[in-house]
Amino acid sequence: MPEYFDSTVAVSAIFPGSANHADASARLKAAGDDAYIINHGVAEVFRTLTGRLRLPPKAAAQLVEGVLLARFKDVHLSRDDYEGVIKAMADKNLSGPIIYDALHAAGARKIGAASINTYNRDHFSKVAPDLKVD
Amino acid sequence: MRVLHADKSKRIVLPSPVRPFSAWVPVLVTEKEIRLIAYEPPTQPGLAKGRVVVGKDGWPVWEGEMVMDPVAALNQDRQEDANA
Repeated sequence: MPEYFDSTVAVSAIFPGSANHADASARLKAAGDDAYIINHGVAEVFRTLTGRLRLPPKAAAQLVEGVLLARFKDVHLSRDDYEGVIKAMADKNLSGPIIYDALHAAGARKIGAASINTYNRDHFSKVAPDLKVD
Repeated sequence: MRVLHADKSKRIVLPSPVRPFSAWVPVLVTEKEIRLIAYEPPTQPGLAKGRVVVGKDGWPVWEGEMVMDPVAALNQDRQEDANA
């Protein structure tokens, strides 16, 4: 069964010192070869590693390659998928960065994941009430 | 207050500001008085100290300084990008 992960779980798997690391690692290990994330999530993790977390870009790239690219399969979102997400945002009168959660939700739906692994549970109740959130 | 004098070409040579990328900003106080304020750019925080190692689960992890909780960092970066 495909397991969808958003960026919050993926980034937590990189930091042994973080409160969510043990949980994120356990989820990722349990998913085995069935862990998925959209490409935007990969970019988002790099942005945060080199942004507020202030990691050197080379180290961030090494981590993205070794964790995100090596452990997660890609969910490709097409232009039509993006259009659908934007229309759904407008229909729900949602604005701002929650669109990134909506894109993750679109990725989860695309692979037929039963649930989304995330630490932004409340965000997904707004953009994806149809999906189970873990 | 230090009085500055012009040279023979009527140029006033200011002492260099101390920090790189800093500059003197002239402020007109009255019609007869200009003050020069040294502008210094905000200092950029340095990179986190640490290194990439192989974690106990077999994938690379960051061993070293963790500036803040990664989930909070991600959400704040998202918000910042949205406000940019």
